[in-house]
Amino acid sequence: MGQRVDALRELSSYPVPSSKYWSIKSAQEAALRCIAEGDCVVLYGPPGTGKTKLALDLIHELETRMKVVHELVQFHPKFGYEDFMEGYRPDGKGGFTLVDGVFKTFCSKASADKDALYVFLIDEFNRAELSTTLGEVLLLIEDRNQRMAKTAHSGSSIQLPPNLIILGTMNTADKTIAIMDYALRRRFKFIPVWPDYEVMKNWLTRVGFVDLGISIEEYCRAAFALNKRITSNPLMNKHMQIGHAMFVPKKRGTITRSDVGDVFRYTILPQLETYCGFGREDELKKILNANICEKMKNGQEILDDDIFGLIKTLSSDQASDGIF
Amino acid sequence: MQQAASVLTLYEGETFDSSNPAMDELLGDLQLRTGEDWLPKRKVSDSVEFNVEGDFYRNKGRLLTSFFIIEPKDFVESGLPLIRLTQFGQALGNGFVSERQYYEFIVKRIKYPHPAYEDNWQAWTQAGRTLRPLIFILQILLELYESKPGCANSYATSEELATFAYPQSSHEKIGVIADSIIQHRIKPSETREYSDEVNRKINDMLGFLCIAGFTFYDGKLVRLNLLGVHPQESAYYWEKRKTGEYEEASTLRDICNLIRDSGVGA
Repeated sequence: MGQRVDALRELSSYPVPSSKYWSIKSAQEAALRCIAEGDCVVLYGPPGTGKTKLALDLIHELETRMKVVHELVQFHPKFGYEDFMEGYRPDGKGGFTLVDGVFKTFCSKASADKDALYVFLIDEFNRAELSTTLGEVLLLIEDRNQRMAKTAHSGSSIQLPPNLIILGTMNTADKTIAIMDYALRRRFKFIPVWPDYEVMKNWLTRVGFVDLGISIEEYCRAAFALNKRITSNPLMNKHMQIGHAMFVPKKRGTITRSDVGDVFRYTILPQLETYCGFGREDELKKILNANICEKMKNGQEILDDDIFGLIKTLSSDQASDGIF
Repeated sequence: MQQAASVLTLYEGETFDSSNPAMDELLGDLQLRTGEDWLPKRKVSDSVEFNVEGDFYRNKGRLLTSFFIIEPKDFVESGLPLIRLTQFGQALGNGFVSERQYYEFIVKRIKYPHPAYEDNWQAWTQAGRTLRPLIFILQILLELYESKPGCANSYATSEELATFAYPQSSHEKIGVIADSIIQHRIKPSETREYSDEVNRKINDMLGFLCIAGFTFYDGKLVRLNLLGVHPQESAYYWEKRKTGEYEEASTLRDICNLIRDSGVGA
């Protein structure tokens, strides 16, 4: 039968132009194209894929071409319209005074300085109640040179200057873009940012491995294979991948065996356990291996050898063939 | 077929088992996307809702495996057979193959021994022979076209192919086969025992070549399609009107290229 299988595979071979695995560079290029068109952009993807870094890199890249002024805010559940646009604040004398929010102030600056590009950077874009927080901005983003709106509290007119763009980043592992209403979604360009194993490889090459018993490439292949298992698991999806930055120990000096062990023990395994749901060792086994799952179940210590056993298995997974 | 391959890519890795609920969904998607019934609506009785046809593979599996869309069920070494698309099936389902490329691929690649079928594989392997049947038919038609009295002869009937080509299925015997067919047309001589299976196979292949545009039906005759302007233009008609302009539009060159690319030589 082996001959038949080989013959069929040879006869049915049909190589197609395969797109290279996704790279951060392509996201950067896409974002720059959108910004050049005056579009507001949101970079989204799983945690640890370098979205915030990419946003800051984009600003640096823009700075090489023009004068750029940027302001960074982080959205969170307590960040509201009053902080973003305008709101009444205690004046310290028992009364209230109307104070412009961070975005409205930034708009005023942009209007007065037409020669510079103003980039309003919002980290963790989806952590605030977006429709409430953004307020009139939804209307103003479209046809920004023509539309003008009155703000809710002061009733003053506001227009989005043409030299201002909003650049957001958001993590989709726990909150997908589905939580945003369609009206909001269509006003932004959403650019995905996935794990980039080439970046991971270059990063690790710069830092260096010491006595790990595996090569940097094998480690990257293991990361790819682990993410492949996550993506194909019915309980998870591509947004729950482990970003390439999460595989790299954050430390000065070269990376040792226990550094990688710690990354898995204290970052990656707890993350996966949360994704699968506590007590779902059956699902976890499909992603990791029986040995580690048994130890996690019993609360036993997971040794470096256990971790490297898993990494070895993952790195020889055919799924990672051809990633470089 | 492109739509079917596209649906199958969505169900890759599923078991063919009719108790798998995904098979019902697959069947529904196939019917929706292709507009064809992939399973005849036959029940055991009016009161028993059980389709005796089983899964879609029983009904259309041969079509999908012979055209290299999916791997046959018997390729599984252990466990339940799973839907597995070939590289060509994946490319087709994902939109990388145009209609023209699809036809050319099938004409060039269909080969005996056909690895999808155990019986065919055994018979041809044991005989130590190979044949590209669709190319073989095109070669015969081309040989007839090039023979005197010219393109008026560039047709064949399934009966002629069954009588003269089938018993000498070899790319080396094209000249002999074409001569025998022409002689037979001048002075009918040879007769053969009728075989429904052989005729059906040949008709299927001629039908495919016609759908693919390499040949066309002229009544019961299947003619080589020498013009891109098909099907009104017969080979005979083309010969009379042959000009540089029409030569450009000719599929003759395409057919010759196809035969050359298939590796059997024109």
